[in-house]
Amino acid sequence: MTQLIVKRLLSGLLALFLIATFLFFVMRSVPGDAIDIQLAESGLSEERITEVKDEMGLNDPILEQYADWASGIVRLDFGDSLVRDESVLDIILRRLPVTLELSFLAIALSLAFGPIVGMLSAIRRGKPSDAILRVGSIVGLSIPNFLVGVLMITYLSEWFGYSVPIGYQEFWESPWVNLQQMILPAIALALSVGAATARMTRSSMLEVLGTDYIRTVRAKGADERMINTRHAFKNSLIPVLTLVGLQFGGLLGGTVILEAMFSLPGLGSQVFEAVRTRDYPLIQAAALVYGAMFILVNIMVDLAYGWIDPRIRAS
Amino acid sequence: MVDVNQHLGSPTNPPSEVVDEDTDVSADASDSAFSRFVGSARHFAKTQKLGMAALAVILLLVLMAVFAGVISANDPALQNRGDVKVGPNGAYWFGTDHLGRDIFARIAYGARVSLTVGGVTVLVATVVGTLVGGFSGYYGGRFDLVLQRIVDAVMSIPVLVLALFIVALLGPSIRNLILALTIVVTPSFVRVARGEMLRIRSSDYVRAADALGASPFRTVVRHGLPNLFAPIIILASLTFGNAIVAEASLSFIGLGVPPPEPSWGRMVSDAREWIRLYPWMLLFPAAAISVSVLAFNLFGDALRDHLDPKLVL
Repeated sequence: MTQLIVKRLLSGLLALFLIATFLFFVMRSVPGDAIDIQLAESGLSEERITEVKDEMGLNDPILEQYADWASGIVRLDFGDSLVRDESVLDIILRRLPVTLELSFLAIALSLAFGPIVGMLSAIRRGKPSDAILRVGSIVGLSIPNFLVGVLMITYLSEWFGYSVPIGYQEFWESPWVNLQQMILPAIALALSVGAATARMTRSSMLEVLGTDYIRTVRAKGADERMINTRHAFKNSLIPVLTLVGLQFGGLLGGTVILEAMFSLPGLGSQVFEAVRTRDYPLIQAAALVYGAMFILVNIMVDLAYGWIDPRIRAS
Repeated sequence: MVDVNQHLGSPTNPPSEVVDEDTDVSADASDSAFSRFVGSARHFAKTQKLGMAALAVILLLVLMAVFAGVISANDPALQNRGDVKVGPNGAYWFGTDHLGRDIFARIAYGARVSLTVGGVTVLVATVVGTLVGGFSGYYGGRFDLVLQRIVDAVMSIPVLVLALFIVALLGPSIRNLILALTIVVTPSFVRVARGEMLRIRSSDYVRAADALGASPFRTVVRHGLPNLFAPIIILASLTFGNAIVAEASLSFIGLGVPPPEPSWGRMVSDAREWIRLYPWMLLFPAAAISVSVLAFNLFGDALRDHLDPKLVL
């Protein structure tokens, strides 16, 4: 088990290194004058532009620039924001907790309903309720989350006169206000992940229900509820976990739009702003941070396999 | 809708299509690839009703995009100042927006934009991804190892964040949007093609081709790629839906298709201020996005049930 963790951490670090390299070369593959034009458009003064170009080391040889960027990352030094008078690292550290809270709330919500919907669908296979749940989950998968956000904001106030409290409050300042601000975007994000989870649980559970050991349990005389929950459901969760890990990336992308829409001061709305102001060092570092979060969550998923399935723990 | 119950994808109930396909083929009395395709398509039409409905919606969208100029009487960018925020009626089927533009025309021309972005992205990603993945799986070794690590790395950056980064660098335009989305979705095609190729590399017919002295290129293209058809076409359909979502999302936040080109995502964003009084401004573009994405997802799903029920994508 320890060996597995070490191995996964090492390959995670390698992936991070490759992401950093990839981002660097995407950034530099844009012709230099395009960056010039965009810097000119950004409305910075002449001196600031030369300064910025110097800071970004745009006049150094490319390998030297790369070495600078890579060694900066190791020291957690992502440079300074082009727009704000602050280091990129400070901005990220200030903004990240909001995004973490939102994305984990969304994951928790989708895990709260996705697998159960999938299980019910599998148990009632072929019945009308199964059809409804299946169509419902593919519809949930197909509605873009920004649309869900727009609809929620509009119709909650239209029909129920409810609007989200203005002015972001952190959880320990005011848990109730904070939850109200978080829950709607979290639901919008959880809808597609939950729907994907439901679909995966259904097909995985149907597979398990067809195995010999389920037949054995049934022949032994265990009651159906016991078979479904204890034996089949638990054993169908591994592919579901894998899926949640993979869906986490899409969820992080969704936080960018939803944080901006619900005025949550997270990393996503910061990225949104940075794209508008063309604050490249910030976007680049944020993309790296998102990559790191994705990798970390997937390592956690791998470890959770061992928790669910003792055979994996042993090997 | 009735046929949702017919679940072919379950491994507990192996699909009977293999047998049916054989009888179909022998009925045609020729074993050409074309007649096999016809047989398979006929079987698909018979068993996947929901998939056929989805296909019909997709064809309808394509027709709408191709004939946008014919079916809509008005210019999508024309601002009819006299007819601002008019509800759906005979002249404006879907009503007009806050600038007096014909929403039906904008939906139809928006379909052109969405399908172009989705289509070009998926086409390029399919060709590049399948070739790169195919060769990577065939050769294996160091090249494969390095390539797969790069694919893993690119796939760990959220699609929308990476697309935002690229569009921010290059500036919003349809071409840049397609470029960004292509970079973002190609890795999944590489991964799937590579996995399949790895699986069939040791099969007898590939080894026979090698033994007969076929060049690696010929082995991969002539013998390998046809076997990648099933997973790749399924992935392509699902990716098409995702590309439409990504285009709509980016246009929604003003970084996708630049005006005056009509885009569904931008229409939703324009409608936000007016929804309360003029719900049709939101209703139609929202429905256009959801229905087309749903159609591609359902079609991809039906294809999976039909071609390769065990495939996990």
